[in-house]
Amino acid sequence: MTVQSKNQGGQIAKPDGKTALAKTTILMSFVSALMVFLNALSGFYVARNLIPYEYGRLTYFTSLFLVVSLVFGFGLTVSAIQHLSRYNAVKNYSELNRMFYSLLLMRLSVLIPLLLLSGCLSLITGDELYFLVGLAASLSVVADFLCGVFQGLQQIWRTALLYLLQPIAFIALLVAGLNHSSKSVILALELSFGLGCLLGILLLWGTGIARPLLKFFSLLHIKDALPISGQSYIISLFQTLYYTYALVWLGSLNQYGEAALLNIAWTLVRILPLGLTPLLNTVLFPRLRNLVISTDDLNDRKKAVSNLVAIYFKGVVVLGISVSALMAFFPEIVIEFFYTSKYLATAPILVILAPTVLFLGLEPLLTVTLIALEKTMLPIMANLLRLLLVGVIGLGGYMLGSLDLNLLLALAYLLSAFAGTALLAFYYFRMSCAFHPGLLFGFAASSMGIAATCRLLLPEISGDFIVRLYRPAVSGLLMVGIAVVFLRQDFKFNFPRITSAKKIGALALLGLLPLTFIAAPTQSTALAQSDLNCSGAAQSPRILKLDCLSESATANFLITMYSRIDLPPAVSWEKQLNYEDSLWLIRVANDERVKLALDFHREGKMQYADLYDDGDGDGNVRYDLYAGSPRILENQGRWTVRVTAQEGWWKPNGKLNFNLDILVDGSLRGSYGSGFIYDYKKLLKNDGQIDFEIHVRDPNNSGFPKYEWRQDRSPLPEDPSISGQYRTEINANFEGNEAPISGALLWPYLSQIAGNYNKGYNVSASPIQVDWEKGKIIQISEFVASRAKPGNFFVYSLNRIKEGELNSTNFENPFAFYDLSGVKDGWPDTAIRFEAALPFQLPGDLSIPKPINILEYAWGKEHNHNLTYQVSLCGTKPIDQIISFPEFSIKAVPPQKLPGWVTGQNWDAATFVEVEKQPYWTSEIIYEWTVEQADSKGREKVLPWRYITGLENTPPADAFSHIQAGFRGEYSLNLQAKPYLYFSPVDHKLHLLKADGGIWNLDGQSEISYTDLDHDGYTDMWRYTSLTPIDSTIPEIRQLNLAGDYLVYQDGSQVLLRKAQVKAFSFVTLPPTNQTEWENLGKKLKEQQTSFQPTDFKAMLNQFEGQDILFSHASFSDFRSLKNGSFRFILELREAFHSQDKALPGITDLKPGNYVVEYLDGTLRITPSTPPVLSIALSTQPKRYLEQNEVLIAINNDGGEDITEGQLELWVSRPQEELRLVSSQTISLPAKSKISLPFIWTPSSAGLWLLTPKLNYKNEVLLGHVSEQITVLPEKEASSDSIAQILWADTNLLFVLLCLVAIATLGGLVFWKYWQTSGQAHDAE
Amino acid sequence: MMLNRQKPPRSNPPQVATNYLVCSTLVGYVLLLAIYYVGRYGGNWAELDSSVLSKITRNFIENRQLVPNSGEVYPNGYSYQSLTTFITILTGLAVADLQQLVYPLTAILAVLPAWLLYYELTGSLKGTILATLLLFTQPEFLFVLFRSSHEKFTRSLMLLSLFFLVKSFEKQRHSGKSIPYVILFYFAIYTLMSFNNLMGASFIFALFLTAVIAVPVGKRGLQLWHQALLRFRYIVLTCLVLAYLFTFYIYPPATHDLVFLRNIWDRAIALFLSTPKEPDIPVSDLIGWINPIVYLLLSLSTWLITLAAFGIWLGMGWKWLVKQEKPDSSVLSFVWLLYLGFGIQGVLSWVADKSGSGGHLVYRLFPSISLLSVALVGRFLANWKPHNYIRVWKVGLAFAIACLAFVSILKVTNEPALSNKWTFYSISELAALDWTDKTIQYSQVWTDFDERLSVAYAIARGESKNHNDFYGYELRETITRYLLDTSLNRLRSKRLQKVMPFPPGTLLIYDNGEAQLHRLYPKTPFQD
Repeated sequence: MTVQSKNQGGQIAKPDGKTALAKTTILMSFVSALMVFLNALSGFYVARNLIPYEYGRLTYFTSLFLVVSLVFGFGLTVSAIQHLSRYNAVKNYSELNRMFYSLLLMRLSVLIPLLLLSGCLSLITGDELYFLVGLAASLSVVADFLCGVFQGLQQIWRTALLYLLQPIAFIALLVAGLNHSSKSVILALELSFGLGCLLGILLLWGTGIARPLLKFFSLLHIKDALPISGQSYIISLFQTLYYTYALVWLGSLNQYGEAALLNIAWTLVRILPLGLTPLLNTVLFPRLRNLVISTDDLNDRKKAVSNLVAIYFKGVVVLGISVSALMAFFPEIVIEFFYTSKYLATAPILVILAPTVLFLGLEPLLTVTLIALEKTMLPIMANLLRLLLVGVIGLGGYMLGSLDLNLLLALAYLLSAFAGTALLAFYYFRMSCAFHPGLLFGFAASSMGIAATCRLLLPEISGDFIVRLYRPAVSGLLMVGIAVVFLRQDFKFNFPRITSAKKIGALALLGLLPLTFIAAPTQSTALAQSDLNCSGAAQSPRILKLDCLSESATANFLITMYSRIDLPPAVSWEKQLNYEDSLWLIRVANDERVKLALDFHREGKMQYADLYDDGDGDGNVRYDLYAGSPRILENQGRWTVRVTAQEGWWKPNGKLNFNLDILVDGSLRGSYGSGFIYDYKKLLKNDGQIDFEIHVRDPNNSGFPKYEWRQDRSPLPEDPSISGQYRTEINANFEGNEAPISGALLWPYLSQIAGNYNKGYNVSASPIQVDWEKGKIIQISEFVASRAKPGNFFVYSLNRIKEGELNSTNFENPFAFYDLSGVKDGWPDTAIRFEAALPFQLPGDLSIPKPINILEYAWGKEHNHNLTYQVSLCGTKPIDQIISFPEFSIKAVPPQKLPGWVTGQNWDAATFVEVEKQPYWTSEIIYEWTVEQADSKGREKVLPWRYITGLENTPPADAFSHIQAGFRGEYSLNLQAKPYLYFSPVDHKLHLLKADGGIWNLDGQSEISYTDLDHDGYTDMWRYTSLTPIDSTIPEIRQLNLAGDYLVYQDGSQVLLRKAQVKAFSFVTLPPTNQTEWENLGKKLKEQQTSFQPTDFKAMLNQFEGQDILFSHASFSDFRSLKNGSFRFILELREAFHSQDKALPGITDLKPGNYVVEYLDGTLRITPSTPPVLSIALSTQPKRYLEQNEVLIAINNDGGEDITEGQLELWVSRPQEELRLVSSQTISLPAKSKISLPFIWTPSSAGLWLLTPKLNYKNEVLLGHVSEQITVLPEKEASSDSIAQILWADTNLLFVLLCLVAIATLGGLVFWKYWQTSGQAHDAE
Repeated sequence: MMLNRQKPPRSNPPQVATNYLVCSTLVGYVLLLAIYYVGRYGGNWAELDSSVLSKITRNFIENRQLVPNSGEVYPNGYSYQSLTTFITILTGLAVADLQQLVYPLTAILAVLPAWLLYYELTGSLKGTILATLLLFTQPEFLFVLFRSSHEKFTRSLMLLSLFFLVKSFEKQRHSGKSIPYVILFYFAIYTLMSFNNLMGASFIFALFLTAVIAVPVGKRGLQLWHQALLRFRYIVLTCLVLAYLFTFYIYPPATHDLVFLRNIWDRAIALFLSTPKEPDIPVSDLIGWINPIVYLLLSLSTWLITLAAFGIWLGMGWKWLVKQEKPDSSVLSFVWLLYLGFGIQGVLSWVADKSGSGGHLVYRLFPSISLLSVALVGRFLANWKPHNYIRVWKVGLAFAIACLAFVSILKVTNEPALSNKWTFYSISELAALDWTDKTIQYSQVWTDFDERLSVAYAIARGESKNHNDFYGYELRETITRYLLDTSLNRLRSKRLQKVMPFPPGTLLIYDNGEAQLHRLYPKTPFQD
């Protein structure tokens, strides 16, 4: 509610005793505190959820709301409290009713003009918020009045309820309906006050207020009531005007962004004073009043009042200083905590306003005190003075051309807060004669001195400088302040009595305030309209106005060029364009705000273009006209982008100059990495610190850029191990055939539209791109294409390059694109990505002294803009090649040599992938199935970073157990060779030579796996598995094995052995490195194309002729390739099986069951299978305690069937104790073979132990009954004597003993000697 | 009574002689302790802070810059490395010799400031002797004094600055006489800051707390120097300014630790409550001893003095504040206040510890609190006159002091028969590390169950010449290929009941009888 009601909080207490007063005080303290809290909470919530512009708009309208509700409140609430209280006390209900209705009618009648006024304003301005605000203000004053009525009637609980309902309802409505607009907030405010009114009316029931009757209305009562509240009303009015003055001013100038920033800081510095208000009004005020009206001796009372105030005064000083210091030194943290980082721009204002916390905290204390002392004119004077000062300073500074209105107003508030408080304190101290005025003046005078200094400097220097100057000054002041507190010296100021202050103040206020509303800058809005792309005409000898329609006809640009030299007369506008010494203001149609300012100027041979964009979110680049020429005020006059060119934007040969140096200071995307590695919108600011340096070069002046390098100077740690941004990015096109610039807005580097950061194929958009709606430069896109051009390459390095040096760059180093087909359509068909990690630069515990190179080599089978194949490689060889630029060089393989360099190297590990499901386009490489695959634990790059570095012992095969549908991939975890590929005549596919395995995910439901059983480097087993939708638990399986002279096939219903001569490969190749190789490979692949389905293994088998052995109703398992083309498998013959006669010896005698089929020495045999027969042996050598011991377990399988994926476990126990698992290993134990496996065991004690191995296979324990007893010896050197021996080995035991005895003795002796024997007085120095 | 005492006659040679004699005895006592500290392990001792400062000093010598351009820079001050560099250049001593053999002996430098301060604080020669003696039976204090870090100087400077402060207060009535002490106090504080700004700031903060509490408490019955205490506030403020200037302007690296702390709370704690990290303070580690009884016995001195001091302090407070008795002297009131100031800082540190922002802050403050505890106890003992059995008391207390001195030095040296935290190494172990560093490069080498051998190498040799990383604690399995096996490690394995982290079947590549270097066999084609 409003201020005047709270100021009178002490008056609601019953005069009949301290208990009632205490209860009321406690309750209302709680209510007031809760209200303050809720109001603050709603304020924070709104600010955090609205964009600054909307928040600024809301600030303006709520300020209006406050002023209006106060002006039209007429102080009637206080009257209601006082008069109703009086009538209620004497129980004169007739007069009470008469007074209530008289005041209510008065209240309602004055709301009518308010509603009319606000409605008219809405109609005139077209902004409905004016009316909504008027309505909200009306409801609020009614609700407030009702609160006053309940207070007067001593209805404390009803008062409390009514007070709290509005803020609670407001918050609830906000949470429920806030839709990021100021309108929704005003509506919520309105509704909450409406609810308050409703509740107030309902609560009148049973309070002694009778039914409304017109006869109760009495003008006489109103006349009696009004003067009582007059002075409080004026105080509140001045206070509110003072608080809202600057915000209304800014809002009336449509500077909502600035209003938002000022309001944020202003709110923050008032949190403490607001928080103290309940304390002052409900605790201090009643006590003071009691003291004042008590009948004690006058001097005693004075003393008591002074003491009471002094206690509060000190508390407020300490709190105020603390909060001031917090805000002055950590403004960003405070703002971010309360309002999120989007309001960080308000930090400089907060720094300046910080000391006002102290003054604004003291002012209510003194005001309350003076009111209690019945000196109400003094607060009026103080508030008048404050209002006056804000007006004079704000307006004066603005008219003098202050660069930053917000900073200026902050200073105005600081000074006025000081002055008002100082005035109050002066009067108070003069009256009380018992306090230390110097305390306050010491603070205030010093602060004013600093503030005045800043004020004098303000028009000339930037806000940042002020803050830098201000912060240490404030810190010094605070120190001085603390010193003054400790000093407690009574400075004897002898201020002259100011008798005419009231008159002077009132006159000045009346004279100056209106001026602020007519001081808005005049901005020219008249622009010539024309059609076609651009048209325009000179408006004066130095002003040219243009109207340009964008090429896409979607935007209309209105450009005003202020030339610093006279324009050539009588020539076309094209010839009048001045790119050397002029300032351009660019607007878009239907919006008078300047969206971008371009300042062209020249110094010697250097040509500059400074670009200014919006910095405060209001979509406007602020400027003023100074001596007829615009002067940019936005961002305190700092440019966001500066483009520098030697000898102008065009070379003498008429070609565009692409030798540019660009500096960026602001939140825009200035590099590729800044778009996603960090949030540049939050991190980067226009603060005088360079965020990006961009250098573009065209050494031959060809008119096309050949290379560029960008230095990311964002405020992030420079150490690459801490922060992963690309510190340097290089794009290069050594052929110099970038597409010509298009889409420029007159100046070739400035774009009409905002597109992508990366250049597209065969197009070069102008790189400086602007969001024309917001008036914000959003990015400086590529001058040289990184990806979209064959022949180009880029380097994104975590290490920063230094100009003039040979640099070790890392990460993508380089990433190159090729057109191996020679089609030359501007699209690449081959890409090579080289990812380099330098020694000791892997993260965390992966640091090793070797470089790690990761490489992806992708190419298309045809030049159709799709990639087909990719070899991915990794290795640890250092790079010994250099790419040189005129300004610097880097250690990297030059792109022209890169294909040959890759295929000419041996690599440690490799993957190969074919995109089976086309089309597949990316701007880079094939992202699936590279060596960078994560393992099942989610660890990225486990193969290159952990396995080939030797950091891990287990090959990361699980990283290659799954592939995306539509891709076919293979891997080799230990290649140690060039990346050869071979073409298989069986499946007619390219495969990786020496692959460990592979997989083709056909459609997500079925897959083909590839295995090289005999480890000769070529796939010899194809296995198709499909989970059918009908019964997904039983997979459909087909298998084809190539071993020795046979192809062995099964499909679930039959097993077929075909004796045929099949080659392992048709041809072997490396990835193509030039046009010839690319064409030859394509030709061969085309020639070998087949028509069978990839899952049709029977068709694959039928490519080859030979003698067959067929078993129907049969299947096989455990296929094993042996040496010299031999093989072996288990054949399962089911009931009703059928086989050809005499194909194998003894085949006619076969019965259903399992058989071992072996092909050995050219002969195929079949014998009945026997299950695994196992025998086991353990090493029984003694082990040692506190050591890791090896236990060898040897197992023989004398049966006819293999054991695959059995689980071998080692269990241990002490005698008579339970078994404990040590560890387990997965084993495969072929039939007729043996293995020996080591287990590591650390015994927990010495003595006898029982070791029991167990083998789990197919849910059955095959071993487990064999145990061995072994002895664990004690640890080496385990006796306590040995410790002593070693300990005394290097020192002399005698020395130790002597010293210890001497130390103890000496210590004891000193005590013995000097305790109670020789203690003399402290008599010598 | 110090304030009311009369000027002594100018010629009183026997008293002066007694003072010199007693003071010399105490110097001799501390020297004996220091000799034992060095001699116990034949100079082959090492601990973390000393090794870090050794490395920093070597880098300082190499670069000859206050803030070296390359290598490790000590972020908290410059004086220790400057002084050490000066001494090494002047004497030709190697850094290792200076750190391990000479610096422990310089602990005697603390005796004189302690003597001077306690002379003022206790008000009697007897009290001075007892307080100084008790101070050097405090293992926490002795440990930081003996090891080769900045603390051997900063602790002395604390004593000295307190002495100057008290003297300046005493001279309050003659401003001309107090000014030199004030100036000397500032010098001492600045020097303290220059050795370690965190320790300096922490000390100043304790003084600040004292100044703050002096206002309300002083009104309730303490007999304080009124004018001097007013000035005390300015002095503290000036010190705060000094700390601020040093941290943010004079020695820029000092801000390094602060700016990276995550919030204001942490920064404030780091600046005002913490002293530099001292992970090896023996009192802090209960499991560092073979059993709790041994730990309690070895810490007896600390607990006895601390509890006694607290009791005495409470008694004083009761007498002065509750019973409104007049304090014996202003200086005693000041000691009482100082104890309260440091105590509040201790409580704040404890709160910070509990809130997770600090890290054993209370333990780090212990030596500072000891400075005042012994003053209270020393003064009490000096004035205490038992009515009966005075001789029995005398014998008993002397014996107790002898025992405390005995157990303290055992604790300070981390006597391996009692401690699980060993701070010594053998020549053979150092020889094995030398060979390792000469033979292999860019490798991780596991050396021990803690930092024992890595800090030994750092203090004796400095940085690895071949970029090897000698480390302790848990084995970094993925990247470690070399492991050191020594007789002492085997003994520690037994003592700590920790398994030696060697897998079976390693390749023994070095053996000098006492120490062996093992190399793990490669398990994949990519391991060498």
